[in-house]
Amino acid sequence: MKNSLKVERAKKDMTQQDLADQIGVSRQTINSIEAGKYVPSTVLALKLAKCFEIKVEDIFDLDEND
Amino acid sequence: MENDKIIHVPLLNKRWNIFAYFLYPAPVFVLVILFLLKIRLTGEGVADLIYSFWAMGSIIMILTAVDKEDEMIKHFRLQAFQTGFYWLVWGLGLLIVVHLLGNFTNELISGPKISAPLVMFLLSTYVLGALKYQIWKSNRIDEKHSK
Repeated sequence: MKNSLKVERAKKDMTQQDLADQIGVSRQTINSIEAGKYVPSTVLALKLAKCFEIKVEDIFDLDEND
Repeated sequence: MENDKIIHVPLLNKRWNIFAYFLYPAPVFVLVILFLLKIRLTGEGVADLIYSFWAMGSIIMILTAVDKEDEMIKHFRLQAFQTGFYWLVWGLGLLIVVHLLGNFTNELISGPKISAPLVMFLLSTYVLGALKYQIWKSNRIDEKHSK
């Protein structure tokens, strides 16, 4: 699963900690998602999309390994 | 399923970690007290005592909530139990092989006696190891990533 979380975060000029605080997770979780080490649940993906006011599929996309 | 009370695992307050750390050196104090009371334990008894205290310490640490108990930590904890059980199977399997070899070689090769405290110690150590490893990996702060 690839994602554009870092790009969306940069557009809003947010740090990982800002985003983590806003959606109620740890900074490490945001870091792991951005690094592709952790795939978030549907609930967390929806929260992230809501935070950036875009659709989930605009942030997350399947890659060739999925 | 998430709200089913039967399968829910309650987590301890972070303060329990202090008690868990105390349990690791505790068998030394218990053995000294037993020595002063002139209560003698066999080698296996001493080993079981140590395994029991260390297992309790590790179990408390596994079941203690971290600062931010979010879905990734819950995922890590689930994975740790699965990985810990997998490692336990291999660890116990190795011990069984050592014991079997000992039987064939007239005890030239011997391993520790397989007891409930030993199994609890191994399982809790493996689960704690798998949990801490995952947390350590996620904590490796990539400064370039953070902004």
